[in-house]
Amino acid sequence: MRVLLRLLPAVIATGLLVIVAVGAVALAGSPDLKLPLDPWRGLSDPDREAQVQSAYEQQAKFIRDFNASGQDPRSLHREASQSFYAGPDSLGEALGASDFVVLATVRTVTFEPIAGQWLGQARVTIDVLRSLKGQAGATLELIQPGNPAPTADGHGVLQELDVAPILMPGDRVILMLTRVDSGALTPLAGAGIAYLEAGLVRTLDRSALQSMLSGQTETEALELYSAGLTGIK
Amino acid sequence: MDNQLLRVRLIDQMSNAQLTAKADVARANWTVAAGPQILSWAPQANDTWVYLKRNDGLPVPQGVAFNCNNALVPACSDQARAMQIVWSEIYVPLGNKDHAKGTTVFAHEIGHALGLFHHGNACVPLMSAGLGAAGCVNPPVAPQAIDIGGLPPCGANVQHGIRCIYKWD
Repeated sequence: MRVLLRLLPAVIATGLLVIVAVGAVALAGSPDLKLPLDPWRGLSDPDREAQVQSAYEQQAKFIRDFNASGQDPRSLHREASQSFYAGPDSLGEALGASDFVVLATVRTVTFEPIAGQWLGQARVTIDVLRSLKGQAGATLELIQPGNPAPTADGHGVLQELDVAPILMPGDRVILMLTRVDSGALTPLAGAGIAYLEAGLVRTLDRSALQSMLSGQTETEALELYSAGLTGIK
Repeated sequence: MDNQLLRVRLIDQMSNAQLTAKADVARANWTVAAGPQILSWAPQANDTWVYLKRNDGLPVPQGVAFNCNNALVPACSDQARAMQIVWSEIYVPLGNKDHAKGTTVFAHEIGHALGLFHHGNACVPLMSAGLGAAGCVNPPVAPQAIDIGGLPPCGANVQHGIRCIYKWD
């Protein structure tokens, strides 16, 4: 017992050392995502603005180089940015909010930077196969927010919005199009794009029309759209 | 940040007084809420920047925020970047100036610019993904309790609001 009592301080001290050492290792191993409070410290406002402009220029160069390369945008990994949107809750509401409703195939997609902005846009040309609403010609031109953006591995990524993914050449789609403030046409957010894949409809995950349209045949879906349009006339 | 203030400068590039007025309500609501954030139109020492930009290619009342750091590639993304955000960009279309949810869009997107993700799908949290739904007729224009979050440390069962992610108690 005396031996144990004599050893007790040493045992306690060793225990404390172990606790401190484990704590130190845990702290050293914890992730530290923090940058300095002001990562721009020491830079003047013009210096900071120059860094922002530099990012825009790199982005614009990547977009121009991508267009020039002729690379298929389908080869890019897609990164959908979450956006605030007010999608229509019913087919009738969506049809009422649309300037054009068409069955179409996508002919071309090109991308362009917007001066002074990180977010660029896609210019999409579609061949109209059938027009359900609006006086559409044989082709229509659409604008969609999004663009190829550089990545660290050099492959690039297709940056787009979750409720309006960029249409791809060859896509066969039923589109509900609305005119935006710029005057351009764009698919209604959320519900505006119905893909036709192997003859069946696939809607976006955030579309309020998913349960109504997904899995329908092309003919069935077009009948639903036509019936809905008759209902709002 | 351990109780250090998060000073944010809003930079208005929207060229529309009505949009600016809505953004200012959102700015004031975030500034008076609990947490480290102080948002101002005027320069502050050691501030980070949030650009407010027009993108008239977006349908009304859409809005989207990108968080940027040109030490990263791509420089801007909507992915998780709390504590890595050097500047942010918020895009809205002109038509939001007349829309009933125009102020909500600014307050919500500022939340993203501060580093918050979506939480909840109901109409109550400012950072809910469901505020645009037609059934959500009076969405918040200011951060709610869940957006402010619990006191740090942020455990698994604590909502990761602004206090939590910036270690503000």
